[in-house]
Amino acid sequence: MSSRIVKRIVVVGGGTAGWMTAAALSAKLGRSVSIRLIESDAIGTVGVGEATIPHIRHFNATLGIDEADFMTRTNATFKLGIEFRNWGRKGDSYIHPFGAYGSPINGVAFHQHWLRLKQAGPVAPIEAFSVPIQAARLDRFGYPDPDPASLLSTFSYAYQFDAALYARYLREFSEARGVVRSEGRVIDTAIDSASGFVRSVRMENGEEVAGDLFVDCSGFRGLLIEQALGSGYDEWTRWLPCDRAVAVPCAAAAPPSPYTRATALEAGWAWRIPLQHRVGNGYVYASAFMDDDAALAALLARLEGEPIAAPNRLRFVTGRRRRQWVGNVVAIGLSAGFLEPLESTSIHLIQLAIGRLLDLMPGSEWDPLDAAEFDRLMTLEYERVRDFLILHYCATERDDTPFWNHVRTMELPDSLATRITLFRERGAVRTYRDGTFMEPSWLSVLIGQHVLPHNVDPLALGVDADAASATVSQMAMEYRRAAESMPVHADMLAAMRGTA
Amino acid sequence: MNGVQSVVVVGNGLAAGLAGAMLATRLDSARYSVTLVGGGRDPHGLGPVGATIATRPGFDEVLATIGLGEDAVLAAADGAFTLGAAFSGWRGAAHGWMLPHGSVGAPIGSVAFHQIAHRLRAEGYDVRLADYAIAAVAAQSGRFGRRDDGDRGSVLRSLDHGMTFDTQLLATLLQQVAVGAGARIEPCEVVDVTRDDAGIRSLTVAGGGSVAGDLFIDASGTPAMLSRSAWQDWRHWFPCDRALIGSVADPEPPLGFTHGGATANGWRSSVAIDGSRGDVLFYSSAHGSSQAAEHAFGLDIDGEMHVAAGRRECFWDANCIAVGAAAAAVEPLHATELQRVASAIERLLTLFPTHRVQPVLAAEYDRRTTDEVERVRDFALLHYRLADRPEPMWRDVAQSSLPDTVAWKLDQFCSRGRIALFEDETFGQDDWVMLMDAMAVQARRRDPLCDLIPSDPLKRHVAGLRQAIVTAVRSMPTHQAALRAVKSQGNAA
Repeated sequence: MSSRIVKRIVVVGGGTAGWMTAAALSAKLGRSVSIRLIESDAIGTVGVGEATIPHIRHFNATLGIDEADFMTRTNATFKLGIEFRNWGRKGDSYIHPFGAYGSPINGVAFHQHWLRLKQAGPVAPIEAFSVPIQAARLDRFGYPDPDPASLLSTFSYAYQFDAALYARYLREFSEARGVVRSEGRVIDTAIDSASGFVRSVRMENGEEVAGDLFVDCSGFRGLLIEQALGSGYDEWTRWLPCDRAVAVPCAAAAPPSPYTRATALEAGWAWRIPLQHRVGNGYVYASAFMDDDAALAALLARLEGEPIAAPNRLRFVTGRRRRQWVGNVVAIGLSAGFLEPLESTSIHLIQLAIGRLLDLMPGSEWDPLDAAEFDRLMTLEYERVRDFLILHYCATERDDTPFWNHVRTMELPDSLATRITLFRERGAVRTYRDGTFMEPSWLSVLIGQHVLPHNVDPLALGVDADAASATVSQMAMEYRRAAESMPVHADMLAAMRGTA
Repeated sequence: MNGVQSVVVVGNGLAAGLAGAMLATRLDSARYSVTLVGGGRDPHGLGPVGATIATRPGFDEVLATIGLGEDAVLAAADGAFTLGAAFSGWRGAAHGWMLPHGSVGAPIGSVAFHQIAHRLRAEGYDVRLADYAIAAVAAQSGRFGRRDDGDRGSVLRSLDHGMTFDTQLLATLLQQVAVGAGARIEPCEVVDVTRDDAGIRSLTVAGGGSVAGDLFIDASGTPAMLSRSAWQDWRHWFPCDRALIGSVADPEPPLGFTHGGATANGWRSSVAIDGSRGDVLFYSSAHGSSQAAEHAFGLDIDGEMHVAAGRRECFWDANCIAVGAAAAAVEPLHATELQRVASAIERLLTLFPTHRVQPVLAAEYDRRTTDEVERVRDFALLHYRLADRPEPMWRDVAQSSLPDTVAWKLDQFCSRGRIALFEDETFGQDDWVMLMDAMAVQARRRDPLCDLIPSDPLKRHVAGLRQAIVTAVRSMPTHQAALRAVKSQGNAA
C-alpha cells in the first residue's frame, strides 16, 4: 500500500506563521509537493517586533539559515532573557534567563541551597548565579561554550527581530524552493459534504485554489478552522484578562540590550524589545480595567525616543482553538489560539505546530488519528504555557490597582495551583515531557515574584552552612567573572554586520 | 516540631538493601538515622526472584550513587552482562524475538529506522529489525562490548548493556554499603506495627524490642508488612498467580541475555550469571495444576510464591512509603524491579519531607510513581495481550480490555507506526517498536517523509549500518573473555 505524501498543500495567510510554515515544509518536503501560499497585502500582519526563545535557533538551523545573514536582514539583536519589572511588587526587577542557576552541591539542586541560605540570613540574589543574567545586566553577549566544563556552557540564547522582515526573509527562502505565492483575499471555501474536507478556496479574483492539505495561518479569525469548520474556542480570559494591545516603535535612546523587558503597568504590562535600528514598544491591557485612549497615552508617555510609526491597535481573546486540526485543515499561529507575548512564545508555538505537522504529515491515506495526536500534544503545550503566564499575574503582592487586585485573588487552574503548592511546600518544581518551560524558568518567576517555600530542603542541610555559604560566594564570583569576559553586545552586533 | 530524623526500612534482601544503601549514603548521618529491619515472607521484597536477578541499562548509574563501580559489583556478585531480553513461544511455539539494549537501526534525518524498514518490507525485502541492533547481533554471537560515545558516527554509541547478579551476594553487598554509610541493622524481625493518627509510630520486633521511626519504607514485598492502602488488581491482564523458583549450576559461559519462554499457562524466566542460572516459572493455577507445573519446571524447587499483579492506590500513605513489590507487582519480563526501587528512592529524596506527614509531597510522589509504574505495566501487558497461543489462559487474556494509554499507543502505531510517548516512560521509542514488531502489529501507513528519500541512498544507509555492526561485533571479545577481564579488574580494585 502506498504512503505517498499529499500532493498539494495550501497555506492560507502569510505573516510569520504562514511563511515559517511554507519555509519549513518546502525545506523538508522539497519539490515533490506543491506548496501554495495565499496572502493579501490588504490584510495587515500582527508582527510588531518579536522576541523569541532559544528553540528558534534550531528552526533556523534546520533550514540551513546563516545566522549573520539572517540577523542583518531582520535587524536582529541577541537575547539572553526577559527582565520583569514591578510584577511581584512595585520597584522589583528580575530576569528570566535562558540558562540554569548555579550548580548542584553534594547532589542537591543549587536553588535548594540558595533558599536555605536565604532563610538563614543575607545571601546574594539568585541572579548572581546565572551567567546570562549577569551578562544581560552588563549589556554583554557572547556565544555559549560547547565545553560542558565551562561556565559559559550554562546558557542559551535567542533573538529579538523585526517579524515582518523575518517573514520577508522566509518568503524569499520559500520561493527559492518552489513555494508559489498568490496575492489576494480568500472569499469562500468549498467543503466536500461526504468527508468534511476542504476541497478548495476561492479567491476574490475568482480563482479556485484546490488542495489536499490546508494550513490555516489566517490569524485570529481562523478563516478555515473556525469560519468554515467551526472548531470552537476555549476562552482563558478568566485567568488572563488582557484583551487588547497597542504598539508603537520608537527611536532607541541607548545601544540595544541583549534582553527584552516586560514592565507591569496599571492594567497590564508593557513590552520593550530592542532591535538594531529601533525599539519595539507595546502595552498589553485589559479593556475591562482601562480604556484605549488611556492605554495609548500611558504607552506614549513611556517612550524613550521619538515614535517612528503610527500606533497599531490589536484586539484578542486569550484561549485555544478547541481542535487545531480538523479534517484536512491544520491551524498554525493565531488561528490556533492566542497567548499574550509575555514570555515570547508566539513564534515558538508556531514552530512546535510545524514540527508536529511534519511528524504527523498525512500521506495519500488520511486517518483522523493524526489530528487526534496533534491535538493531544498541542493541548499539553498550550495549557502549560498558559499556566506559566498565569503565574506572572497571580504571584503578586500588588493590590494598588483594581486590575492587580483582580489577578492577585482570582481562582487558578488546578494544574497551576498544585504546582505552586508543591513549590511552597518544599521548593520542588514539577517537570514534564511535553512542555516548553523547564525548571529554571519556573524558578526564576516563582523566586523573582517572592513565592518562597515554607520548608528548606532537608537534604541541603547535609552541607554545613558555612561551607555552603563559602561555596556559593565563590560561585557568584565565578559567574560574575564569566559574564565580564563576554564582549559588549553592541560590539558583537557591529562585528556581525561586518561579516554578513 | 514533628520533624523527620529517623528512617526505618522494613524488608529483606535486595529491595531493603538497595533502599537502605541509597538512603544511608545520601542522607547526612549527623541528622538522620537509617535502620534496616527484616520482616515478611518475601526474601527480596521484589516478588518472585530466584537465585539470580537481571537489571536494565542504567543500573551502573544506580550503583555509582552508592559509591560502587560496576566491575567491582560484577566481581563480588558472580555477575554477568546482558545485551537484551530474548523471548520464545509467545506467538506460537516457533516464535522468538529479542529486545536489544541500546537503540535499533539509525534514522535518516527525522525519518525513524522502523519507517525505513516498513518501506523496504513493502518493496519485498525481508528486514529483521534486530539485525540492525548491535546489541542483538553481539548477544547472539556470544560477544560483548560496551557503549562508546567517543566517536560521533560510531555504531558503538547505539550499544548499551544490563547486568545479572547472584541475588544473595548482591543483597549482602548492598547491606554492607548501608552499614558502611552508617545504617543500623536491627537483628530481630518485625512482628507488629503500632500506629497513631499520623501513621506508623513504631515496630515491635521478635523478642519484644521496639523500633521507633519518623518515616517508614515498606520494602517487605508480598504480602506487605506495613502498607494498608488498597490494591488495584491487574490479574485480568496478568493471570499468573503462582511462581516456582529454582536454580541450576552451569559451568558453561553464561548467555549474554535473559530469556522469557511462554508456556501453556504462563511463562518461564531464565537469568544466567557466572556459574549458574536462576529460573522462575510463573503460571496460572486456574489453568493448570501445581503438580503439572512442578513437573514441567524440572528443577529442584527452592521456593514457591503467590503472585498478584497490581499496584497500590497510594504508594506514600501518611509516613509510610511502599517500594518494590509492596508498591507494585509487574512480572519481571524486562528486569525493571531493582531500578524501580532505585527510582522510588531517588524520587523520595527529591521530595524528602521535613515533617512526618506532608500530604502535598505524598500526592506529588504518588502522581509520578503512578506514571512510571503504569507505563512499565503497559509494556509488560502487551506481551500477554498480543500473544497468540491456543491455550485457554491465552485466549482469555486476549479478550481483556485495554487501558486508555495502551489503546492510544496501539492505535497510533497501527495507523502510521508512530510511538506516542507519555510522561515518565521507562521504555523508549525503539523498545516499543521492537515489541510491536515482535507481536506482529503492523502499521497501515508509514511516515510519508520516508518515501521522499531516494531508493539508492536509502539502501546504502541500511547496508552501511549492517556492515558497521558486523564489523564492530567482529572485533568484540566473547562475553566470557569480557567477564574475565572485568573480574580481574574488579577483584584488584
